[in-house]
Amino acid sequence: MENPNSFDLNVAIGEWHESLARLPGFKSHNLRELEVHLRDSVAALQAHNLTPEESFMVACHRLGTPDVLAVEFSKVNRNAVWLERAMWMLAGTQFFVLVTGLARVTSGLALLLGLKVSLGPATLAVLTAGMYTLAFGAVIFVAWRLMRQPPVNVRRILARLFRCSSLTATVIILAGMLLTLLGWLPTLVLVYWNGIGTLQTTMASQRWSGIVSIIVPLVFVAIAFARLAKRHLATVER
Amino acid sequence: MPSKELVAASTVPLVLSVLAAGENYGYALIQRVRELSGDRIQWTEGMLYPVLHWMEEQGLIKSEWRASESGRQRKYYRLVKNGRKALEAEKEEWMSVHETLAKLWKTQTHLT
Repeated sequence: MENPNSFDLNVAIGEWHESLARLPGFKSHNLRELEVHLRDSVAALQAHNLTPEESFMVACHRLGTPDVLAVEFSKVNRNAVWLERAMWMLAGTQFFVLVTGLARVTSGLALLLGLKVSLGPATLAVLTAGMYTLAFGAVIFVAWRLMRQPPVNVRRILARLFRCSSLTATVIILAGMLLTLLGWLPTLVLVYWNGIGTLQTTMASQRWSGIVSIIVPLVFVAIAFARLAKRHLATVER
Repeated sequence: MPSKELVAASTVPLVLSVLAAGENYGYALIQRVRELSGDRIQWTEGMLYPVLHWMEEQGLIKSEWRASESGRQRKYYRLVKNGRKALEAEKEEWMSVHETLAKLWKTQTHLT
Protein backbone atom coordinates (compact mmCIF):
# COMPACT_ATOMS: atom_id res chain seq x y z
CA MET A 1 0.00 0.00 0.00
CA GLU A 2 1.24 3.47 -0.78
CA ASN A 3 2.44 5.51 2.16
CA PRO A 4 0.23 8.62 2.38
CA ASN A 5 3.15 10.58 3.84
CA SER A 6 5.55 9.64 1.04
CA PHE A 7 7.32 12.63 -0.40
CA ASP A 8 6.73 13.45 -4.06
CA LEU A 9 9.56 15.61 -5.35
CA ASN A 10 7.66 16.86 -8.41
CA VAL A 11 4.66 17.87 -6.30
CA ALA A 12 6.95 19.65 -3.82
CA ILE A 13 8.73 21.50 -6.64
CA GLY A 14 5.35 22.38 -8.20
CA GLU A 15 4.12 23.83 -4.89
CA TRP A 16 7.38 25.72 -4.41
CA HIS A 17 7.01 27.12 -7.96
CA GLU A 18 3.43 28.22 -7.23
CA SER A 19 4.44 29.89 -3.97
CA LEU A 20 6.99 31.97 -5.89
CA ALA A 21 4.54 32.71 -8.71
CA ARG A 22 2.15 34.25 -6.18
CA LEU A 23 4.76 36.85 -5.22
CA PRO A 24 5.33 39.97 -7.28
CA GLY A 25 8.68 40.51 -8.94
CA PHE A 26 9.13 37.31 -10.93
CA LYS A 27 8.68 36.85 -14.64
CA SER A 28 7.80 33.36 -15.87
CA HIS A 29 11.29 32.77 -17.32
CA ASN A 30 12.82 33.75 -13.94
CA LEU A 31 10.79 31.02 -12.27
CA ARG A 32 11.73 28.54 -14.96
CA GLU A 33 15.42 29.28 -14.46
CA LEU A 34 15.13 29.01 -10.67
CA GLU A 35 13.31 25.69 -11.03
CA VAL A 36 16.06 24.31 -13.28
CA HIS A 37 18.59 25.42 -10.65
CA LEU A 38 16.57 23.78 -7.87
CA ARG A 39 16.36 20.51 -9.81
CA ASP A 40 20.13 20.57 -10.49
CA SER A 41 20.80 21.23 -6.83
CA VAL A 42 18.44 18.44 -5.69
CA ALA A 43 20.06 15.96 -8.11
CA ALA A 44 23.55 16.86 -6.82
CA LEU A 45 22.47 16.45 -3.19
CA GLN A 46 20.77 13.13 -3.92
CA ALA A 47 24.05 11.96 -5.43
CA HIS A 48 25.51 12.59 -1.94
CA ASN A 49 23.02 10.07 -0.48
CA LEU A 50 20.46 12.55 0.80
CA THR A 51 16.81 11.51 0.54
CA PRO A 52 14.65 13.39 -1.98
CA GLU A 53 12.94 15.26 0.86
CA GLU A 54 16.22 16.25 2.52
CA SER A 55 17.71 17.25 -0.83
CA PHE A 56 14.68 19.39 -1.61
CA MET A 57 14.83 21.15 1.75
CA VAL A 58 18.56 21.84 1.55
CA ALA A 59 18.30 23.00 -2.07
CA CYS A 60 15.44 25.39 -1.19
CA HIS A 61 17.43 26.75 1.73
CA ARG A 62 20.47 27.34 -0.47
CA LEU A 63 18.39 29.04 -3.12
CA GLY A 64 17.00 31.57 -0.62
CA THR A 65 13.62 32.31 0.92
CA PRO A 66 10.83 33.30 -1.52
CA ASP A 67 10.40 36.73 0.09
CA VAL A 68 14.08 37.62 -0.20
CA LEU A 69 14.23 36.33 -3.79
CA ALA A 70 11.12 38.33 -4.70
CA VAL A 71 12.71 41.53 -3.38
CA GLU A 72 15.89 40.95 -5.39
CA PHE A 73 14.05 40.02 -8.60
CA SER A 74 11.76 43.05 -8.17
CA LYS A 75 14.82 45.26 -8.51
CA VAL A 76 15.62 43.95 -11.98
CA ASN A 77 11.98 43.56 -13.07
CA ARG A 78 10.92 47.01 -11.83
CA ASN A 79 8.74 47.86 -14.86
CA ALA A 80 6.95 44.53 -14.76
CA VAL A 81 6.31 44.94 -11.03
CA TRP A 82 4.80 48.42 -11.50
CA LEU A 83 2.71 47.19 -14.40
CA GLU A 84 1.38 44.39 -12.23
CA ARG A 85 0.64 46.80 -9.36
CA ALA A 86 -1.23 49.10 -11.76
CA MET A 87 -3.11 46.06 -13.05
CA TRP A 88 -4.12 45.09 -9.51
CA MET A 89 -5.34 48.63 -8.80
CA LEU A 90 -7.32 48.65 -12.03
CA ALA A 91 -8.66 45.19 -11.30
CA GLY A 92 -9.67 46.38 -7.80
CA THR A 93 -11.63 49.39 -9.04
CA GLN A 94 -13.20 47.41 -11.86
CA PHE A 95 -14.11 44.59 -9.48
CA PHE A 96 -15.91 47.18 -7.42
CA VAL A 97 -17.80 48.42 -10.49
CA LEU A 98 -18.61 44.80 -11.27
CA VAL A 99 -19.97 44.08 -7.79
CA THR A 100 -22.06 47.26 -7.61
CA GLY A 101 -23.35 46.51 -11.13
CA LEU A 102 -24.36 43.02 -10.08
CA ALA A 103 -26.08 44.33 -6.94
CA ARG A 104 -27.94 46.94 -9.02
CA VAL A 105 -29.14 44.27 -11.46
CA THR A 106 -30.40 42.12 -8.54
CA SER A 107 -32.15 45.08 -6.93
CA GLY A 108 -33.67 46.03 -10.32
CA LEU A 109 -34.98 42.51 -10.82
CA ALA A 110 -36.49 42.58 -7.33
CA LEU A 111 -38.20 45.86 -8.23
CA LEU A 112 -39.60 44.32 -11.41
CA LEU A 113 -40.96 41.34 -9.51
CA GLY A 114 -42.36 43.59 -6.80
CA LEU A 115 -44.20 45.71 -9.31
CA LYS A 116 -45.46 42.59 -11.05
CA VAL A 117 -47.08 41.40 -7.80
CA SER A 118 -48.25 44.99 -7.04
CA LEU A 119 -46.29 45.62 -3.84
CA GLY A 120 -46.68 49.00 -2.12
CA PRO A 121 -43.98 51.71 -2.40
CA ALA A 122 -42.66 51.15 1.15
CA THR A 123 -42.36 47.38 0.69
CA LEU A 124 -40.72 47.94 -2.70
CA ALA A 125 -38.18 50.30 -1.16
CA VAL A 126 -37.28 47.78 1.57
CA LEU A 127 -37.15 44.94 -0.97
CA THR A 128 -34.86 46.72 -3.44
CA ALA A 129 -32.55 48.07 -0.71
CA GLY A 130 -32.42 44.63 0.93
CA MET A 131 -31.69 42.84 -2.33
CA TYR A 132 -28.93 45.33 -3.12
CA THR A 133 -27.26 44.75 0.26
CA LEU A 134 -27.73 41.00 0.02
CA ALA A 135 -26.25 40.72 -3.51
CA PHE A 136 -23.36 43.03 -2.66
CA GLY A 137 -22.57 41.14 0.55
CA ALA A 138 -22.88 37.72 -1.11
CA VAL A 139 -20.48 38.56 -3.95
CA ILE A 140 -17.93 40.12 -1.57
CA PHE A 141 -18.21 37.12 0.78
CA VAL A 142 -17.71 34.57 -2.03
CA ALA A 143 -14.79 36.56 -3.49
CA TRP A 144 -13.21 36.91 -0.03
CA ARG A 145 -13.52 33.15 0.62
CA LEU A 146 -12.07 32.33 -2.79
CA MET A 147 -9.10 34.64 -2.33
CA ARG A 148 -8.45 33.58 1.27
CA GLN A 149 -8.49 29.83 0.80
CA PRO A 150 -8.71 29.21 -2.91
CA PRO A 151 -9.35 25.61 -3.96
CA VAL A 152 -6.47 24.22 -6.06
CA ASN A 153 -8.38 24.65 -9.34
CA VAL A 154 -9.34 28.25 -8.59
CA ARG A 155 -5.74 28.95 -7.54
CA ARG A 156 -4.50 27.61 -10.87
CA ILE A 157 -7.02 29.69 -12.81
CA LEU A 158 -6.12 32.83 -10.82
CA ALA A 159 -2.39 32.20 -11.34
CA ARG A 160 -2.98 31.80 -15.08
CA LEU A 161 -5.17 34.91 -15.22
CA PHE A 162 -2.62 37.06 -13.47
CA ARG A 163 0.13 35.80 -15.72
CA CYS A 164 -1.68 37.39 -18.69
CA SER A 165 -2.52 40.57 -16.80
CA SER A 166 -3.63 42.72 -19.75
CA LEU A 167 -6.17 40.11 -20.88
CA THR A 168 -7.56 39.81 -17.34
CA ALA A 169 -7.80 43.60 -17.02
CA THR A 170 -9.67 43.80 -20.33
CA VAL A 171 -12.10 41.05 -19.29
CA ILE A 172 -12.79 42.74 -15.92
CA ILE A 173 -13.35 46.14 -17.59
CA LEU A 174 -15.73 44.62 -20.16
CA ALA A 175 -17.61 42.66 -17.50
CA GLY A 176 -17.95 45.85 -15.39
CA MET A 177 -19.28 47.82 -18.37
CA LEU A 178 -21.71 45.06 -19.27
CA LEU A 179 -23.09 44.88 -15.74
CA THR A 180 -23.43 48.67 -15.56
CA LEU A 181 -25.51 48.51 -18.74
CA LEU A 182 -27.49 45.57 -17.37
CA GLY A 183 -28.21 47.66 -14.26
CA TRP A 184 -30.37 49.89 -16.45
CA LEU A 185 -32.16 46.98 -18.07
CA PRO A 186 -34.93 46.45 -15.44
CA THR A 187 -35.87 50.17 -15.65
CA LEU A 188 -35.96 49.97 -19.45
CA VAL A 189 -38.12 46.82 -19.25
CA LEU A 190 -40.48 48.65 -16.87
CA VAL A 191 -40.82 51.61 -19.20
CA TYR A 192 -41.40 49.21 -22.08
CA TRP A 193 -44.11 47.34 -20.13
CA ASN A 194 -45.94 50.20 -18.45
CA GLY A 195 -44.92 53.36 -20.30
CA ILE A 196 -42.85 56.34 -19.22
CA GLY A 197 -45.31 57.17 -16.42
CA THR A 198 -44.03 54.30 -14.29
CA LEU A 199 -40.60 55.92 -14.10
CA GLN A 200 -41.77 58.23 -11.29
CA THR A 201 -43.00 55.31 -9.16
CA THR A 202 -39.79 53.39 -9.92
CA MET A 203 -37.58 56.33 -8.98
CA ALA A 204 -39.46 56.78 -5.69
CA SER A 205 -39.07 53.07 -4.85
CA GLN A 206 -35.45 53.12 -5.78
CA ARG A 207 -34.63 56.12 -3.57
CA TRP A 208 -33.82 53.84 -0.63
CA SER A 209 -31.84 51.38 -2.67
CA GLY A 210 -29.99 54.41 -4.09
CA ILE A 211 -28.99 55.49 -0.59
CA VAL A 212 -28.07 51.91 0.30
CA SER A 213 -25.99 51.65 -2.88
CA ILE A 214 -23.86 54.53 -1.57
CA ILE A 215 -23.65 53.42 2.06
CA VAL A 216 -22.93 49.70 1.53
CA PRO A 217 -19.87 50.17 -0.73
CA LEU A 218 -18.58 52.91 1.61
CA VAL A 219 -18.86 50.58 4.61
CA PHE A 220 -17.12 47.86 2.61
CA VAL A 221 -14.28 50.20 1.59
CA ALA A 222 -13.89 51.39 5.20
CA ILE A 223 -13.69 47.80 6.51
CA ALA A 224 -11.23 46.76 3.77
CA PHE A 225 -9.12 49.87 4.43
CA ALA A 226 -9.08 49.24 8.19
CA ARG A 227 -8.04 45.61 7.69
CA LEU A 228 -5.26 46.56 5.26
CA ALA A 229 -4.01 49.29 7.61
CA LYS A 230 -4.02 46.80 10.52
CA ARG A 231 -2.05 44.28 8.47
CA HIS A 232 0.40 46.96 7.31
CA LEU A 233 0.98 48.12 10.90
CA ALA A 234 1.56 44.52 12.03
CA THR A 235 4.17 44.08 9.25
CA VAL A 236 5.90 47.34 10.18
CA GLU A 237 6.01 46.34 13.87
CA ARG A 238 7.48 42.96 12.94
CA MET B 1 34.89 33.74 5.27
CA PRO B 2 34.64 37.06 3.37
CA SER B 3 32.02 39.48 4.68
CA LYS B 4 28.60 39.76 3.03
CA GLU B 5 29.55 43.15 1.60
CA LEU B 6 32.76 41.85 0.05
CA VAL B 7 30.95 38.83 -1.41
CA ALA B 8 28.34 41.15 -2.93
CA ALA B 9 30.98 43.51 -4.34
CA SER B 10 32.93 40.66 -5.88
CA THR B 11 29.95 38.99 -7.59
CA VAL B 12 30.22 40.85 -10.92
CA PRO B 13 34.01 40.38 -11.35
CA LEU B 14 33.68 36.73 -10.33
CA VAL B 15 30.89 36.08 -12.83
CA LEU B 16 32.77 37.92 -15.58
CA SER B 17 35.93 35.95 -14.82
CA VAL B 18 34.20 32.55 -14.83
CA LEU B 19 32.41 33.39 -18.08
CA ALA B 20 35.69 34.57 -19.63
CA ALA B 21 36.71 30.90 -19.56
CA GLY B 22 33.60 29.92 -21.55
CA GLU B 23 29.81 30.01 -21.45
CA ASN B 24 28.05 28.53 -18.46
CA TYR B 25 24.71 28.28 -16.65
CA GLY B 26 23.79 29.59 -13.20
CA TYR B 27 24.13 26.42 -11.14
CA ALA B 28 27.52 25.48 -12.66
CA LEU B 29 28.74 29.06 -12.22
CA ILE B 30 28.00 28.93 -8.50
CA GLN B 31 29.69 25.54 -8.14
CA ARG B 32 32.76 26.83 -9.96
CA VAL B 33 33.12 29.84 -7.63
CA ARG B 34 32.53 27.65 -4.58
CA GLU B 35 35.15 25.19 -5.76
CA LEU B 36 37.74 27.89 -6.64
CA SER B 37 37.26 29.69 -3.32
CA GLY B 38 37.55 26.45 -1.35
CA ASP B 39 33.95 26.87 -0.11
CA ARG B 40 34.76 30.30 1.33
CA ILE B 41 32.56 32.21 -1.09
CA GLN B 42 29.02 30.94 -0.77
CA TRP B 43 26.28 32.93 -2.43
CA THR B 44 22.62 32.67 -1.55
CA GLU B 45 22.19 30.83 -4.82
CA GLY B 46 18.98 32.46 -6.02
CA MET B 47 20.54 35.92 -5.62
CA LEU B 48 22.90 35.28 -8.51
CA TYR B 49 20.12 35.37 -11.10
CA PRO B 50 19.02 39.00 -10.57
CA VAL B 51 22.72 39.92 -10.89
CA LEU B 52 23.00 37.92 -14.13
CA HIS B 53 19.87 39.61 -15.49
CA TRP B 54 21.22 43.03 -14.51
CA MET B 55 24.52 42.23 -16.25
CA GLU B 56 22.59 41.19 -19.34
CA GLU B 57 20.65 44.47 -19.26
CA GLN B 58 23.95 46.33 -19.07
CA GLY B 59 25.12 44.48 -22.19
CA LEU B 60 27.96 42.64 -20.43
CA ILE B 61 26.65 39.14 -21.09
CA LYS B 62 24.11 37.36 -23.29
CA SER B 63 21.89 34.43 -22.48
CA GLU B 64 20.24 31.65 -24.41
CA TRP B 65 17.96 28.75 -23.44
CA ARG B 66 19.39 25.48 -24.75
CA ALA B 67 19.17 21.79 -24.01
CA SER B 68 22.17 20.55 -22.04
CA GLU B 69 23.86 17.17 -22.58
CA SER B 70 21.45 15.65 -20.04
CA GLY B 71 18.56 16.92 -22.15
CA ARG B 72 17.44 19.46 -19.52
CA GLN B 73 16.76 22.97 -20.84
CA ARG B 74 19.15 25.46 -19.28
CA LYS B 75 19.87 29.14 -19.70
CA TYR B 76 23.47 29.58 -20.76
CA TYR B 77 25.31 32.85 -20.26
CA ARG B 78 28.28 34.05 -22.30
CA LEU B 79 30.52 37.06 -22.18
CA VAL B 80 30.24 39.70 -24.92
CA LYS B 81 32.60 42.48 -25.99
CA ASN B 82 31.42 44.99 -23.34
CA GLY B 83 31.75 42.28 -20.73
CA ARG B 84 35.39 41.71 -21.66
CA LYS B 85 36.06 45.44 -21.35
CA ALA B 86 34.27 45.50 -17.99
CA LEU B 87 36.36 42.54 -16.87
CA GLU B 88 39.57 44.41 -17.74
CA ALA B 89 38.38 47.44 -15.77
CA GLU B 90 37.43 45.23 -12.80
CA LYS B 91 40.83 43.52 -12.92
CA GLU B 92 42.61 46.87 -12.75
CA GLU B 93 40.49 48.05 -9.81
CA TRP B 94 40.82 44.86 -7.78
CA MET B 95 44.54 44.56 -8.54
CA SER B 96 45.17 48.12 -7.42
CA VAL B 97 43.39 47.43 -4.12
CA HIS B 98 45.24 44.15 -3.78
CA GLU B 99 48.65 45.73 -4.51
CA THR B 100 48.05 48.59 -2.07
CA LEU B 101 47.03 46.22 0.69
CA ALA B 102 49.92 43.87 -0.10
CA LYS B 103 52.41 46.75 0.12
CA LEU B 104 50.90 47.97 3.38
CA TRP B 105 50.93 44.57 4.98
CA LYS B 106 54.48 43.87 3.74
CA THR B 107 55.69 47.13 5.33
CA GLN B 108 53.88 46.30 8.54
CA THR B 109 55.42 42.79 8.57
CA HIS B 110 58.89 44.38 8.30
CA LEU B 111 58.05 46.74 11.17
CA THR B 112 56.88 43.97 13.52
